[in-house]
Amino acid sequence: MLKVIKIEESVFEENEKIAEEIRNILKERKILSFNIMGGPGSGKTLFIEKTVEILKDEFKFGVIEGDIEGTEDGERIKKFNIPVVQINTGGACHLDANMVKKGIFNLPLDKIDIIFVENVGNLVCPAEFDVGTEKNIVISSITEGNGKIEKYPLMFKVSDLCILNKIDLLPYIEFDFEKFEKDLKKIAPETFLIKLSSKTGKNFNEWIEYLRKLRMEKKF
Amino acid sequence: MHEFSVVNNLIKILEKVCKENNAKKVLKINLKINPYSCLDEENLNFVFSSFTKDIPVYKEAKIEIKRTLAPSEREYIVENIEIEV
Repeated sequence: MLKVIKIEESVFEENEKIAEEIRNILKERKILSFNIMGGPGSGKTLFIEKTVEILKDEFKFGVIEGDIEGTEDGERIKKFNIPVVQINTGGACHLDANMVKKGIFNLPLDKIDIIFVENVGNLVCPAEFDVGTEKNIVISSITEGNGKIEKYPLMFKVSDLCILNKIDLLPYIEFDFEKFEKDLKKIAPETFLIKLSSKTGKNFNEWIEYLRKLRMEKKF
Repeated sequence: MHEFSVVNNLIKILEKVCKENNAKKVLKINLKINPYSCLDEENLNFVFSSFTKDIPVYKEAKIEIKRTLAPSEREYIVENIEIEV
């Protein structure tokens, strides 16, 4: 006999529960947190390094570094003498809430104002997993070409902020800013855009102001 | 590659349903996902059958994906499961 069993349950229910738990833990401690996503080589680590360098006397930072293998990115952040937890996914193409939870509990939460979670470099899978941070950021660089928003729409849709990086390379690369902005408005109209260069610092202040404002608004 | 995580969690739901209903076979799993989700039906079925190839109850099971505006962009909702009892 055939039977249809109604389920209406999310496949990621367990992940969502843990993500909510992380958000509550961080909210209780007044910690602002960001999930930094983007393709390999888009400039995620340098973006974090620059931010920490500029704001290290203003805020106390903690970083969770997610990579499939290796500790290079974690070592780069450690130079700033801030707590870093390196997570190696051992093959998995994304971080999930459970991995981040373990990372969070390895950070000295009483001594932290802002946490950056650097996700595995990938424009597909990380977009599907809520890792429990307050905000999602996607870093895209002009060297990746113009079509990224159309090709990876979910990544841009789930992000609160899109950083378009490496604008200092514009003299050497063909990039249509107007098309990028139009695509973002069409596919992810609520995602805020900042164009900058982490390398030269051009427009980096726009991000710094965004971060300061967010912290003030949220009364963290 | 997040198909592995999807299939892994899906099997947990299926195990519970099969046990509660004394299922002989799972025939169809209807999944509802956001139009923007990067998940392909053929690929997901391939991963599912690789994971479950030695489990007779899942031998005929097929996953069907319906793209619809789910409550949240990230949610993959198992709408219903068709079983033989």
